[in-house]
Amino acid sequence: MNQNDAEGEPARDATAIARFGELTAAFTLQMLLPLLVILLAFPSFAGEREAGTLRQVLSMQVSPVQLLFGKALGAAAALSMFIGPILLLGLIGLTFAPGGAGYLGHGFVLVIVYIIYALIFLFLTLAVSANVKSAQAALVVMVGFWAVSSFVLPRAASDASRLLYPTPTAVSFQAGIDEAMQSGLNGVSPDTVVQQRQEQTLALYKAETVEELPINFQGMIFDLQEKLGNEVFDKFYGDLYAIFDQQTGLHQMFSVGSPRMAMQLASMELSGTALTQHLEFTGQAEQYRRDLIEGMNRDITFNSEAGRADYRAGPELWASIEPFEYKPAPLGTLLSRLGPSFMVMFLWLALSIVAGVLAVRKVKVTLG
Amino acid sequence: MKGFGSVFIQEWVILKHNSTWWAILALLLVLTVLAALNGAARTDQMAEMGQGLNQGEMQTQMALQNSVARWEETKEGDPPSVASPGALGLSVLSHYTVLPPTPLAALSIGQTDVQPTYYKVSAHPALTFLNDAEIQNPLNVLAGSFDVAFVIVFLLPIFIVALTFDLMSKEKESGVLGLVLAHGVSKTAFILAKGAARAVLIFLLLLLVGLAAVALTEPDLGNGAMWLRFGLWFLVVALYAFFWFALALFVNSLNKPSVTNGVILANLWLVFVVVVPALVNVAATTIFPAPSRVELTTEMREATEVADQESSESREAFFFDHPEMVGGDANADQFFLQVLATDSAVERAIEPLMEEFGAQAQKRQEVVDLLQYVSPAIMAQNALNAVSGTGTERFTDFSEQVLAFHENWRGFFTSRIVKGSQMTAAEFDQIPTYDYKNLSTEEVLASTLSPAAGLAFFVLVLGVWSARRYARYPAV
Repeated sequence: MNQNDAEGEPARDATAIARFGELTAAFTLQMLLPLLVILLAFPSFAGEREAGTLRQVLSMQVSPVQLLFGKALGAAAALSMFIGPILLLGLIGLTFAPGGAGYLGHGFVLVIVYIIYALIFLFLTLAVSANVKSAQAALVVMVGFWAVSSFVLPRAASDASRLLYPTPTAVSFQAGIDEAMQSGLNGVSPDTVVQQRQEQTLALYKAETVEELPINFQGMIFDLQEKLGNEVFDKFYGDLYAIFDQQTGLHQMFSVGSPRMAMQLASMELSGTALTQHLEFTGQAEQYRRDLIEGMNRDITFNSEAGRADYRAGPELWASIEPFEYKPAPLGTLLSRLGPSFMVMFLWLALSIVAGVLAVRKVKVTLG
Repeated sequence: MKGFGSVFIQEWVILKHNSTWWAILALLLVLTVLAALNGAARTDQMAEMGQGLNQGEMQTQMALQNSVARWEETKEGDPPSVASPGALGLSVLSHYTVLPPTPLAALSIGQTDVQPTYYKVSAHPALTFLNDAEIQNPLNVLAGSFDVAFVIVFLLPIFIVALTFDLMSKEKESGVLGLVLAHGVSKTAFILAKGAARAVLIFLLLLLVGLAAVALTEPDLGNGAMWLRFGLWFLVVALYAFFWFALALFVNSLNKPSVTNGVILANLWLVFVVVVPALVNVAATTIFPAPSRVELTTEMREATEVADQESSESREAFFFDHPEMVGGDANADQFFLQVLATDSAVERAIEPLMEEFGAQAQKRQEVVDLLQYVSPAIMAQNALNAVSGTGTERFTDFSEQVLAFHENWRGFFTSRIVKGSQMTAAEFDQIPTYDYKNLSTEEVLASTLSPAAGLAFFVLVLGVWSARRYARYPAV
């Protein structure tokens, strides 16, 4: 009767510099890709204005909106020469990885989300570039936005969630469980429950002592204790995971201000490395364990003799146990779970395109 | 250095009317204050948690001692079961060893959120408590904390770069440089004065925020050791800021357009603060990877299984599984001896793996300690952690102290279990107590000053190099 906390986290074995970030594909795509977009696109309008070529271009009967999308297309083409092969290689790698073919759908969605992510930064940079006086200012504003949304907001979210929804300390959590195991969740101690069950069972079989029962009552005690314990663990871990949910919800709220946070949540969920998936796995493993123990206790109850600690079950009992198989949530479930993150990203995309269009419209006016 | 003073004053006048400059200063101020408040809240939480931990344990110990003392007075009936050192040490008593926060802990959260700040020490092998961890949402660990060290290491360079990337190039582009030089101002004096005008306010701001954070979080402002730490803190912050100023001046000396300077500096920030640390991390973790913790747990379970099986033929094994059925004292003693035997069998089996963990971790740290000199950001982070007492070194030292205390604690009970003696009330007072010894001032100095020296070296090289370039800087 014990449920494990997540133990042996790799963070424990990491040195202090792991804090700067780990060089993973996700890190590169989420942190460096937007910076690449910014460096590619920041002089688009502001640089041309400084060089005086913006006036020429606009005098060639090109509408500002056409110019915006033309610039975006050009930058996107340049980017896709670089990013396209990487994403394509990822998908091909996925196809040939063992069991990877089942995740092609996840891969495609992930690629699309990354494209949206890059487009957000592209249009934002173009909008800023069209809006500000100099290329320098465009660079400063965009790098500032990048730094705030990639570094400041995630950390702020993590601290805010710690302060607003504090998790219990390991000590108080364990003390609570111990106390509940001792005296029961609703004030009725496990010993009393066992006593009551014994009386009921004796009455049912019209027996005087447990030895007279046709079953091994010890098996029923095991089963009862197991289930009482399960209730305690369900309560405590349920409460804990509810706090985790609140904390994750706060991260989601902060992601409204940071496309990177929305991107990260989506990427983790689609790659199967999110907390939700860990908890799903834990839940399935726990259910498997419970079914297993229940079967064992049933076997003791009906097949063993009372007071015989040397009872051994036959091979057919062991043969009847199915191996554990983790069933990951289907893509549809993941997508519905990612609703808020997708919404944030679509909003940002829409916002950045609108900002871009508005900004280039103004360019024409200032030229007049 | 002709003209330094007049350019410096002139710059101040210009900056006073520059709204971008004030906006950047205000933003830096707000971020640093928020970070300091956040760090203070975290430190408070930690201190509060540590204080309450041992109260329950001490009460239990006192109550048990009293019950033994009462029995000793009357000698009626059997001695209380807690008079057995086995029952006391192996199931009832334990002791929380707490790592107290140092002064300035609020300025850098460091490794505090991933390393244990307390252990529950019992008479069982150390491996039973060494791996205990605090409950945390992994999403929060992933993001890290918004503390002052983060503002300094990550954000301060961005502010400095934003303020200085066009320091020389802009003057040249607008034609001001030629005019100034025509007045006989030296190029070096000109750029230094412009840089100094900006630096002075930033340094002042950091000093004030640091002092404010200390005033907010430190109960004892007369503590000399704290002020020494604060001096070190400001030294590191100043050197790190100097590095970025020097880097910006150097990039300006390349005589490139402002936009190019901006891109170069943004990339250098990326390289020093993001890419190089990540690469160093990859290097350290691939050369000396941590053994699998899953393997550790599995081995521990297997060893326990084997030890149990070995004793299963004997009668005591039954008591091991059913301690509630242990009857007389003889059986109880047998039972606790059996527990000791199982404990040490498991310990023997796990020891090689535990040693590998320790050895790999140490080698990994050595790699990082060595490679930190390639990036000022790593040096600054390490030094700031060391000053705040939240670096790896202090956590390693803490776990070593805890292990030494555990040896004591365990020895106290096991020697009595093996002898088969009973605890007297007086012996309760001899139960070892835990006393944490802070790292010595020399140790803190050593772990702060070597990265600080690295930073100073970077500043010096950049300074000398830039000075030589500015001497040959074309005015038009």
